[in-house]
Amino acid sequence: MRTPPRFSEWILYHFLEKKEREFIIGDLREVYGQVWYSSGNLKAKIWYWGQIRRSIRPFLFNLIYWRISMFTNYLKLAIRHMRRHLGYSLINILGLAIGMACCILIFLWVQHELSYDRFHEKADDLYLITVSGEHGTWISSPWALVPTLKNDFPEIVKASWFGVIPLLARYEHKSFFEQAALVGNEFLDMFTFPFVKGNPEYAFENLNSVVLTEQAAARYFGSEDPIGKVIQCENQVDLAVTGVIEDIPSNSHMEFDLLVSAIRFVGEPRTRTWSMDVSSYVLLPSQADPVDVENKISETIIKYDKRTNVKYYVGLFPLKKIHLHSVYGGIDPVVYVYVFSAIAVIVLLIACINFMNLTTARSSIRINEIGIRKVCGGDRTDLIKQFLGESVGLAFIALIGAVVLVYFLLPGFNSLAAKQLEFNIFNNGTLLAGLVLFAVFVGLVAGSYPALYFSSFQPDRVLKNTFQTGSKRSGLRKTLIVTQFTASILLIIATATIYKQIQYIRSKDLGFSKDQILVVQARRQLRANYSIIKERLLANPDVLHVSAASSIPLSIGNNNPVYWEGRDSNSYVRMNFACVDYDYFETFDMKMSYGRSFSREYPTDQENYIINEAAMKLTGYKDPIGKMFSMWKDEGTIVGVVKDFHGTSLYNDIRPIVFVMYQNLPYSNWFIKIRGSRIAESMDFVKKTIAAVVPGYPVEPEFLDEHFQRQYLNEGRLGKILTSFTGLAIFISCLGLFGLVAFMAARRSKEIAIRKVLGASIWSVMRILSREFIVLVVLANIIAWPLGLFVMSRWMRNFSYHTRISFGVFIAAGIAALAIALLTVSYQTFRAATANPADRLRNE
Amino acid sequence: MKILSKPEELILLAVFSLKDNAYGVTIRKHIIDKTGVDWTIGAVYVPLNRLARDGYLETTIGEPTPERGGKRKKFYSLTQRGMKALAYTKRINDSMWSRLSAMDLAALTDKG
Repeated sequence: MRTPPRFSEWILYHFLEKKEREFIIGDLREVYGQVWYSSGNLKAKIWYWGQIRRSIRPFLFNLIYWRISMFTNYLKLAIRHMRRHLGYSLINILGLAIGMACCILIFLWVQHELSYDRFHEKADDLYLITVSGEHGTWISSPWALVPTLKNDFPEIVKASWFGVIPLLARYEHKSFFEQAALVGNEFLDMFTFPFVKGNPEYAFENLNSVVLTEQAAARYFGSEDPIGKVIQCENQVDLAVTGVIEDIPSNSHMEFDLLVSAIRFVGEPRTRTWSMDVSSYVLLPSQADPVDVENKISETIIKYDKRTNVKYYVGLFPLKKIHLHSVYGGIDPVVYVYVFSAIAVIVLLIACINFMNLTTARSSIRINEIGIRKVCGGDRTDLIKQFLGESVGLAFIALIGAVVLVYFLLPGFNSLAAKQLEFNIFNNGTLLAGLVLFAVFVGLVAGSYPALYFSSFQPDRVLKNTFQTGSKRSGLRKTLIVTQFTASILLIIATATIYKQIQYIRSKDLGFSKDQILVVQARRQLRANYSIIKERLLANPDVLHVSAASSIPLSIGNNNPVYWEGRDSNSYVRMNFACVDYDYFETFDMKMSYGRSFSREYPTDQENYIINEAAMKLTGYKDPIGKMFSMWKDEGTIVGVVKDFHGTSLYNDIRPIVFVMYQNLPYSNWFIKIRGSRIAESMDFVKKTIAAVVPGYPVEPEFLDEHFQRQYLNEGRLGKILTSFTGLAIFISCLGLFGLVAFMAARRSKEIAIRKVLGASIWSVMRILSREFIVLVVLANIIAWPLGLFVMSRWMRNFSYHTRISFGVFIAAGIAALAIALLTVSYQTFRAATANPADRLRNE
Repeated sequence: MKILSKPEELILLAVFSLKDNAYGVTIRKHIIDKTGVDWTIGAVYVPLNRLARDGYLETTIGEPTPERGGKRKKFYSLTQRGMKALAYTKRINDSMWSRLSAMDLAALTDKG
């Protein structure tokens, strides 16, 4: 065996420079043969290994040194290149930086959205209880469910209620309304809320306890230690502070200021009822299969609730899905996550395409350099590495720009997205590493096409100047521009359509009047004094109507089972209902289509019903006045039918609604319609009137339409965000177009000069140059329109009530894109057209 | 003018001596014979390569032979630049060594 052992050769092979491998390995085989011949097999092997061991260091250092010098060489070239074409390089970098900044911002947002509720240690095993019936799914469950589940099913490790109510809390002279969460004893075991003071284990040992968040504690106690101090709630209940928890992080779907014991507030008997009033959460063991457990507990309500032949099924909804997925149906908010991620990708793509276009368009300038390099023995892979290195380098510079941009844009973005996102590269190592990788990725992707493009030139043809930037290439480049503009146009269409929809929703006639109506949220103390306050308010001529109800007209959500004459007794129907006071319909200017509204002239109205037209349709009554109707076993007659109005958001159809007047049920929302003039005085009057009857009650009346605006906040934000990103996308596309046109014009400068000499006008030269690009933009429109139509109509389907998708939008988008493109192009073409022909031709 | 490092100087001299037969194996053997030190392959090939890359040596590629497992040989020869570097080295050497006479050195080696 005269050849060295394969393994050792293989090791050596990898330490050697590629070019030298063959020769050195060959040399060594020769020597090995000699050694083997003279000293035998074993000695030869030992010698070989010895050589390898001792040579590793020099070879390795050589390799590194060589790589570094290659790198610095390329770096010098790249820098020199950038200096010579500063304009183009800057445009390139700017485009990339903007694209990257967008991606980073969206990434921060998406990351936050996806992180909701993950901070709970047991998040994977926590579930929300859902109750499903014929008419939908709710997150309200019966109080009795929690103890029952714990009793009957060992699979349910822990369970707790969670219901937030507004609570008036007072300590010494400070009193505020707090969001108090009524929870079970096991709540703190299930959810991770770190205690800053106090011990979670003993927090609810005594039921008369309250746990505060840090913010809440600061409100009442400042920097004093709150433990052991007593807070009075609702002027009736004294609770001792047993703990303070860290402020709740922004990515939690549960929000509250205090924790109190549900049993203390609701009472032990109530917790055995089966009326649906509160949310419940359960903890499953780690290995449990939720589907399995769900099947087991599914019929619990049916089993225990003997009141009605109700068919409610209990379900489990994972904690981690709560924020982004809707229990009821309707749009899952996770859709927004997808949409924004898609936008980020699109914007980045446009930026990369820009980069590719600009880089390859300048090919004629670099051809000479490449040709020489290839002739001198540069192989194709080296060339590719060089170009990739350049683009990665540019990407890093762009990254710096992007980071700066993000710092500037973050506050605006935060207010747009209603979040408090942080971007701290100095503290966050993973973020920094991620950014670096991101830059490398972008550099590689954006540089891939130019690298391949440049390295495929053939040196001899290049140097002989017979090379032409072939039409094949420009075909691809044109495709890229078309793609950019298609994406931009799509974004314009989407934004405009969504805006129209939002406008439509905001201004749509809801079927009732919402102007100049003040809403007062009434808590327990206030409710008792309703009649007195109503009387006093009406004494003022500026107050037109005062009424109250259990819910605000656009949020009629509670429902109950109903019966009517002739209803199929086997079917089971629930309808939304609202408890209203006299004058409700007058206050909102709701018209009756049949019958009358509730009136004091008819004392039996306390047991009568008013339904809306949709309900009337459901009952099938042709003449409903006087017919029997009942809800919850309370029989009565229908005295009026009100014209349909939107009882829930415009996402849904108009549902059947029933109106009753249970005087025993307190009205939690008061409505005060005031005259349009002297609004400030009227509001003042309202506040004073209430303060006179219930001193110390923090009254904050709000106008009804402000309240409504808040319902559609999400859509409004979506619109704003889309506008910003559309603007960005267009800007980047124009950047690309700008650079490209400049280059094209420069390349054709001789042709232009000749044309001018032959008598062409400025205008015709501009026309010729622009023609190519205009065609591309038109093409982009043709592609974008059907796509936009498809996507927008699918989105609109989520709304039961929506505007038509108007063609005007598409045409406007197309014209806008065209106009912008023309503007961009015209600057360069104008310059080209007005250049002195003599200058151009002189270079011959 | 670059001052050659000792290995570089020795390699260039070896290449010169070996005339047409200067390749890795022979160069190394020559140096080992002349210096009495067992130079590792790394100690020879790394400076050799660098010299070639920097233009002090030029290379010719030879025929593959069976004893080398079918691999080709790379022959080295001095370029103008290489010759100039050697001349420069000699000049420096001569001028710096001129003080040290043969007698001084002989005296040292006897005692040491």
